[in-house]
Amino acid sequence: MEFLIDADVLYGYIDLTDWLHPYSTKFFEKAEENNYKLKTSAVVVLELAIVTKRDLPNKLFEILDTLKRLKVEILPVNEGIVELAFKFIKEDFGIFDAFHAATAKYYDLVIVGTDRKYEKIGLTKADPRDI
Amino acid sequence: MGQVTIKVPEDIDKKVAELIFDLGLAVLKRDFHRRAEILAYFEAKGWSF
Repeated sequence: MEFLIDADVLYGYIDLTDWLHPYSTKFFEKAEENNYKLKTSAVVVLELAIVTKRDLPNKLFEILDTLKRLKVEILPVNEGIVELAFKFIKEDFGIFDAFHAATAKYYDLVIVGTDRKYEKIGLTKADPRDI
Repeated sequence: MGQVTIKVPEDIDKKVAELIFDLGLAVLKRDFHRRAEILAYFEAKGWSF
């Protein structure tokens, strides 16, 4: 099974005080045990960097090492993804969620996150609280 | 949905005040994407708080 990890799950892993932290940690442990293929996108990394810079500035430059340690591959954004993302923005998605949804759809990945919007457009979502 | 009215001093930009309110709301609602979107807007504008 291949997954696209959303920014809230990655942030929850990085921030030990975040409400998602126990769930994110459990998810990554399970992913390791079951050899899940974990991916994320360059836009997720951007979103993560923006919030981390503000809330946990001392952890900003650890993001890439953390992704490598968790064996999360960073997928590129291309024209097809941008086209899809703008379609989702027209359907009332926020900027970041639209790009993540478009990336998951384009690469046919199960999205790991807590946002309820993803299911509305037919994406398969895995909520770390239920895993 | 409830409605609140906020009064800000005249020297504070109304748009920025609204965004900061929105940011607080996003944190309370645990809406990570909205929070990131507002912070990205500040970052893109070169504003630091």
